[in-house]
Amino acid sequence: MTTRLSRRQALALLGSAAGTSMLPKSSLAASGKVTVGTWGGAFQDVLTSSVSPILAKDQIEIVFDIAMQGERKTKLLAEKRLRTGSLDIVLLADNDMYEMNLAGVLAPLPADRIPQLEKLFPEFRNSYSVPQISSGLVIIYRSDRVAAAPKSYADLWTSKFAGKLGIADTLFVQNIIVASQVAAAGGPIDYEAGKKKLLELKASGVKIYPGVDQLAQGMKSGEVTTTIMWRARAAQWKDAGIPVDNVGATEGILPVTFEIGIPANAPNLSRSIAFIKSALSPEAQVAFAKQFGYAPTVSDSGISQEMLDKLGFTDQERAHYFKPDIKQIAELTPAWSDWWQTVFLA
Amino acid sequence: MTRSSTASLLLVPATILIVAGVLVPFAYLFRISFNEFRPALFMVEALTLANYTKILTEPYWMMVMANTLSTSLASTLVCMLLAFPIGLMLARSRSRFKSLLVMIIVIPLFIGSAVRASGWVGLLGYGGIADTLAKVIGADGSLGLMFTQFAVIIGTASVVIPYIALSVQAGIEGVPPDLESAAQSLGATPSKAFIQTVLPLAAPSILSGTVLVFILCVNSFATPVLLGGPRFKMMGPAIYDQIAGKSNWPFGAALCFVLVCMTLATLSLAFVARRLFFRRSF
Repeated sequence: MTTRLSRRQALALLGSAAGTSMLPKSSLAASGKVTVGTWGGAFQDVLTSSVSPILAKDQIEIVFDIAMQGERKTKLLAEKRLRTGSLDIVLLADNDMYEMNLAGVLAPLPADRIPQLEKLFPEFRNSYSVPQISSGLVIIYRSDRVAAAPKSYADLWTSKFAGKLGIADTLFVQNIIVASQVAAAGGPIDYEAGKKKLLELKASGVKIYPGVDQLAQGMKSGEVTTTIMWRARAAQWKDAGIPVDNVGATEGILPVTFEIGIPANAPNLSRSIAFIKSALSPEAQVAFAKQFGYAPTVSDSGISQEMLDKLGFTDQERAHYFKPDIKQIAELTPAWSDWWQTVFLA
Repeated sequence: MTRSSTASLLLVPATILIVAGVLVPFAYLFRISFNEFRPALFMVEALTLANYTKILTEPYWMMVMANTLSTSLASTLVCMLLAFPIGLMLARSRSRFKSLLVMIIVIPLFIGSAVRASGWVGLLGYGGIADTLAKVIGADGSLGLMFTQFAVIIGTASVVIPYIALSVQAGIEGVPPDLESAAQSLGATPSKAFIQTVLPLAAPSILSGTVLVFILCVNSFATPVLLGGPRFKMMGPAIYDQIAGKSNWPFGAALCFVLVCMTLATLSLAFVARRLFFRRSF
């Protein structure tokens, strides 16, 4: 069978071939789908509304691979031996990202191809991931139901908060750290003492919610009036009509960054880089601040000072940042996970 | 080609599918269950019984197994109590709307268990319908039903009701109505005729439905996660936690096989019960 091309068809084919050859190489390589391993819910909503439109300009579509952080870590580890993995991008909290870097599943950052990395606040920089948003652990309480606002984590261990304190199962690492801060009472940190302290909280009837969204529901309904949570959530919950206020505990605020990593076997590096650039853009940083309550990680975010004051931390609070040894935390996390499940939750 | 050999050939695709899709991965999982887990290295090749020993000796894992068995038994019992009258009504119905009634029983199966569990959250959650009703009759504060074994039992039973209702219907419909009439003509009261004539003959079908429901309960996932919360753990969610959450495939695989053994033990018990009590119906 033969196919005859008309003169016009032949010219059209030649024209499109020539046009394609003149396209920038990067755009040819980048267009397509970028698979992002991330949280669902509000996090995914903000990514959809802020990062997706930017990537769409380069004909890149985000495919969300939704799972909790544990599942995402497992996926990275399980795919470690594969030449090409399924994720172009993975989003994780700082301690989890550190753990994944130790496991050797992350690619080194191609810093020369991401100029915005120079705008990252120095305290957030590292060699294996890009901090996208930041916050810190504070006490959030219902301002209409808690007569005297707590000042320290130790206050939450008093009978005043018995049965009215809620914590999130997903933040078990942070909960152990907080309890250890209470046990240390300003002295050297001892995580074993922290675990014992946490058991006191269990005995006093602390309510444990599967995740942050369920905890928000508990705060809204009044089932619990106080929690230990990221400051970003205070702003988000307040916007949702829950009358909450927050305070940085006197024991020190545990800072957090939620970070972007490129798996070592990511299918398409150009798309991974395009995602990072979009996530660090002022549009995305403003969206995460406005819709989700997280502070920016770059100096050129374009977020107003008023909002920065609301979401970020004062110099005094920064001076009281509690920064545990992240390597030690990464090493202890698997054992903590077992203890949390088989002792604390049992 | 004989008719029987043609029939055997028709079984080949299904056999290949089961061997490739179930038995081979199952064998692989079985091998994994004897490996070691080291957090930094993920999974290390080994031949150890440590994972099984842990499950069968540590109080927490004994509790998870006990939770799974007690919840499944209770759910099956609740389900039987609720579904038996429905199945009986369907079997005895001469209504022209009988097909519609059957459809109404089956329709909930079209809705995922996660969606149905969400409905129970609204009902049993703090300040939900149950709490509101309790307040009306003078209860003080919340009933605290959410994230309890009770919530899981009710939620699971609601998912599996159609299976028992339909097996009860099928069992009773399979008994010739003349037998019940004959029993009554010989002086048995209607209830005695039903209990001594219909029920024993329908029992194998009802037992099959009950076993199926128990197996579904033992393996349930979404309902225990959503209604049981973080503190109430059953085997299904525990396996998921180990494999997907903690990357501990060897221990998760061992849990899988313990669950399989629990299920097989139940099947064996049901088989023995059938042989002992309903021999006449074979």
